[in-house]
Amino acid sequence: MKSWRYFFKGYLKLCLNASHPERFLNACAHHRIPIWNLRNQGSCYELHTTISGFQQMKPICWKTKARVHILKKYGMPFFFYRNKKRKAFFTGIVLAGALLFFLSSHIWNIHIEGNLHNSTPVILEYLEEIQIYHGIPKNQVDCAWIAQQLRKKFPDMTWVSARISGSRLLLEIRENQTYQKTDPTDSLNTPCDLLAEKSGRIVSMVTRKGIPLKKPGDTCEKGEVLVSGQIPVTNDSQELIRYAYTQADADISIAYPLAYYQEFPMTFQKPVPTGNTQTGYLLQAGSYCFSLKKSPKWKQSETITRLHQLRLTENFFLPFFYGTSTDYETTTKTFRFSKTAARQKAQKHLELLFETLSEKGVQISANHVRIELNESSCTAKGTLLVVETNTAVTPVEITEQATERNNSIDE
Amino acid sequence: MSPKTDTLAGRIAESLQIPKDLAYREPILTMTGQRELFIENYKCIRQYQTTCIVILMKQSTVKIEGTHLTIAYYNREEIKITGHICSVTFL
Repeated sequence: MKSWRYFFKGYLKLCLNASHPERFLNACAHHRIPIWNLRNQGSCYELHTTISGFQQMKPICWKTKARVHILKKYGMPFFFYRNKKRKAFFTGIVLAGALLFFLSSHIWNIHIEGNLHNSTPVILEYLEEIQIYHGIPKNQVDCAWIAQQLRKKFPDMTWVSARISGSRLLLEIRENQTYQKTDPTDSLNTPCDLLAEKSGRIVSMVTRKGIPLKKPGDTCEKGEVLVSGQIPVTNDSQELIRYAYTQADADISIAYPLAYYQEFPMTFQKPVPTGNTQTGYLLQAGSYCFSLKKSPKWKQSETITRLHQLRLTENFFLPFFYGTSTDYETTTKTFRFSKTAARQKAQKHLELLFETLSEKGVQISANHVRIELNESSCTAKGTLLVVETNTAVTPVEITEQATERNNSIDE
Repeated sequence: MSPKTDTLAGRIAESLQIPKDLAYREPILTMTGQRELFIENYKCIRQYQTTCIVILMKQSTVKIEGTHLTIAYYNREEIKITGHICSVTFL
């Protein structure tokens, strides 16, 4: 620390010649003149002192009959004096300082951690909506307000901490693991019926709320009411006095046939690479693309482009891309499926459909799909018997009669 | 018990638990290997050569012998000597 202070203020390397140097040194200590790196060089003594110390030495030199010469000058004052003609250099220093000041007064990195359900791009997009973006001045950032807005926008965030560290905005988020988005119809609690979305046979039915109008084994048509939200209320003599309304709730599985048809030709054309390639570099700034690659001279080719986006910080992407673009020469060849390969392909398509259906919660009860081959094409057709929990909600029509009866009883 | 503590001043200093370097104006010598010697409460430099430095204390004299002896810094209270120190003698 002290050496930096000496460097900023400037210091000197001196050569001391005296018949009694110890007397001079003790006098300097007595006058609190800072002296360091004192060496005996035989004929003279070399020492370092400050500019002000050197000025104080004059009466001591006279008193002790010592002679002091300056060997070298160090520090900022001498550096600036030596380079006073280099205006561009000093301008550069000033500009660098100004740039540093400008850059350090803005946010250049928004770091988000702890988010599992809400992805970082979604949160960044919302932050941009509320005018919090990369490059915003620090004095325009209100951390408490940002935390409040994030909690308001994303209700599953139980805790949000926003703080500024250097030129980074750090957002720490805790999310509710068991949070589920509420259905707007649930919150309204409007009376409703459950309708069948598909025509078929009811396989199972578990009713939690409402009056079931069908039972397992019955057939139903699309749009037919399966569970009614209108509950008749009777008196002791089993006379209907009014209707109570509820939000019908049930798990109903409906089995229905699903037609399947897929056909593909036994011959197909495929581009085959010949082995000739051509690679070039690619630069993209916004929507402008600059390619350093020649256009391919082949009749048919495929191009694979790999682009990387430049970014200053973790989440601060610039609209500049760089990468390579490779052209592969290809020729189109005609291939023919073997019988086994064609069956495998048809089976693969069918299994892919099964996977998609199972992801949607649809069970395959029976598979009546047959694969047929002929010279020109391969056909997979038939029906699948699928079981699906598929019901729709519709509001109950509140009958006037029931209301009147209700009123009359109340009176 | 040293002879100094027998005196009245010594006994008062002892009872008041005043540090000994302040009470008896004694120097503190701190040595790091043979490379550095740090002396507090010295009086003045008596002699300085590359092989020998004589420091005058308040009540004694210390002679430091060695090679390439350099005074890293010094002021009114303390002095730091660096180099290859061979011996420290109280004269």
